Amino acid sequence: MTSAEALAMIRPHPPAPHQRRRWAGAPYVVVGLLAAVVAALAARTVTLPVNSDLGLVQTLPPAYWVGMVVLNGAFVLALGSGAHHRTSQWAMATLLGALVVTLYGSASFASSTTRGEVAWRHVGIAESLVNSGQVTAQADAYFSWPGFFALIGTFSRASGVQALDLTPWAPVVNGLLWLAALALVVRALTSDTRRIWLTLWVFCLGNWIDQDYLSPQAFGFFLYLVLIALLLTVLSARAGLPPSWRPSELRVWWRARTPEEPDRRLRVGVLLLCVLLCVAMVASHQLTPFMLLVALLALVLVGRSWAPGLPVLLGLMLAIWLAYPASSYLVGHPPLRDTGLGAATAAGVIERLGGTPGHEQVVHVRIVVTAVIWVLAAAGARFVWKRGSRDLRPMALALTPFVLFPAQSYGGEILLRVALFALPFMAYLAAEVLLGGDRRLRLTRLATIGVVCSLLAVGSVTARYGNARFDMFTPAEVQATQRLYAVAPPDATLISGAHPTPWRYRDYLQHRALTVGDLCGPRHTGVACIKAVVGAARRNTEGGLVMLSRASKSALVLQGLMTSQAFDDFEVALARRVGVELVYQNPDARIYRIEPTRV
Amino acid sequence: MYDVRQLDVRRLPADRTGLTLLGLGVLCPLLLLASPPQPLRAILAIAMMGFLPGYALVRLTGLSEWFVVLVVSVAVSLSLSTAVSMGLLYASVWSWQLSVGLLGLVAVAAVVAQMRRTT
Repeated sequence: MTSAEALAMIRPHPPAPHQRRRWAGAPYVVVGLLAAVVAALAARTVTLPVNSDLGLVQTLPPAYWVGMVVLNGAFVLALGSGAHHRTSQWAMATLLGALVVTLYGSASFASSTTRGEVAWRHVGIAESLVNSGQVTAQADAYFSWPGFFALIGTFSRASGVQALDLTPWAPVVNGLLWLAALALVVRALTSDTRRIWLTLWVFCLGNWIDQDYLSPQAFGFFLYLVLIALLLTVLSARAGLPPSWRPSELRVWWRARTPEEPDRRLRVGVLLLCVLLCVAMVASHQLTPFMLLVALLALVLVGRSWAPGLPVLLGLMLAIWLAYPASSYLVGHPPLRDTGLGAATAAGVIERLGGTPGHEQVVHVRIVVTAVIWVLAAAGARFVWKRGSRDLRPMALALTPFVLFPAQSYGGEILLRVALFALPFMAYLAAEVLLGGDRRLRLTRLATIGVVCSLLAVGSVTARYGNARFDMFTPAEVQATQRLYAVAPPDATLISGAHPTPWRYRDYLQHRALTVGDLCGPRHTGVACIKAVVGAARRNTEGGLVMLSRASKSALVLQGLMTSQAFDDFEVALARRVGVELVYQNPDARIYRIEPTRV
Repeated sequence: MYDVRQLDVRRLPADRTGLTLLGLGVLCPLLLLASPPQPLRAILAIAMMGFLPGYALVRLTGLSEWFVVLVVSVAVSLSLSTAVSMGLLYASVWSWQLSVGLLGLVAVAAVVAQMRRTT
């Protein structure tokens, strides 16, 4: 053996190409994780209450934004370096996980208190279900769709973890579940790993809609994505475009379709699993099954579904559910009330464009972030069509949620839900145009993607946490609510200033809950408002308790429903009424007891 | 109806995953009933309600790629847990012990069916 050969033996061998590629993303992961840690630590320095009409965005320190931009930069550079390749997908997954934790967990880093009143309420519903051990369908709409609450109640009891303790990090858990399911969806549409990862990233940034808290809609959306993934893979059909729209040729085209998955046993098994997912979805949420129904019909219409009976079965399940378990709710709430494009636009857009100048700016940012993704998606659709792709599925799935827009205003939230259900496919099409058709990403294109993603990240944080002034509660407000339940006689009416209150997490069915905002509205001010509130409490034989908090005042003022002065005047006048007594106060909340009318 | 007593373990193929699942499907509910300390109790509840029964059912279909199996198993488990909990509430016989027991039963039945199919 020569000395050169001996040296070659002891010298470490250069890594094989696939090994080099496996670690290609490592430097970006290190930078990205450091950036995420910096952003998380910066978010922890936020002190409550948030006092800006712009929400959390104005109170987050510069280090947070530096971390967020560097994290986006690390992702884009990893994408350009080839780290997206199959052998280095762990790197992209880690960066994506870091983005989810940083973006969806910002408020949880700032405060361990559950954000948003609805999450508190959902805990109360789950608790009341398992406490009573039965479904009281007449109570309210939630009890007509009790599936998700039954799941949470059972999990809480089985695990020994309080349901309220599940809420602070629910957005992160739901975000990760959604992205895992979305990865299955996008993999069915493309084998290009760059497109897959960029779609997931853009989805994450574009999802400011804030429906990922502990809620039936978050659970339903996860099931929706898994169902769509199964329909685009195992239950998919191969078909070109129909040669013409003549019925005879359409019939031939329909019969010429073949299944993507040749194994019949696998298809039948997966179809049965899909039915189970549909059952859970129908029992858990009002809107999601309808979104799924239109998506399934769209896939059937473009000839890409090998399960054309599934939408029929889902329609049947929906009809049965509405006719029996949900019938008591539907008696007072006909499903086709508030229909029409005008009503949906007024409730979903125009009525939201009010309030203080800061709040209006937040609403505008929400519109801009959504519009940017929709415009990019439209450009992406045009781009892929011009390149000769005739896969109609992403376009169809991006557009089908809009079918439901004029069908129901959904309490003014229909546009938000439409945007959420369209987002996965909008993000996919947007990724197409952002990446372009080149095999190798040039520096200018990488820079463009980096700038777009960083701007979307800033917009997303602004939009998502734009209500932080009233939906992030202080410990004093939580303490006041605990006191409220401690002093409230059984069955007493509870009245809060506005919906943003950390309440209804217990004794959900025991107390009637009202708000000053609901009782007074914009028309009843001053004395009329006092009369309405006191009257509502006194009509109850147990009387009532009114809790006025910093968050509820902020909500009314920010949304332009009441001025700060009017709120203060209301409270002074309430405190002076005969039979009204202040029973608790702390820096952020006061509780007044209202005696019932003596007969 | 398949009689579990007819299952001759010696005739089973070396399906370690199936046997592990079978063991977990029986053990997890029993351990949960004993209210073990945290975080073991939470982990067992997550496994029992969020993965095991779904995984046992997904194996029956023949789906094979690990990531697909993982995500679909979670979705199926959560759906099954929803259906079982809700069904018991509508029947006014809800208890978390019964819910977890039924989920364990589903997991065991699915594993037995899978084993029977492969023998």
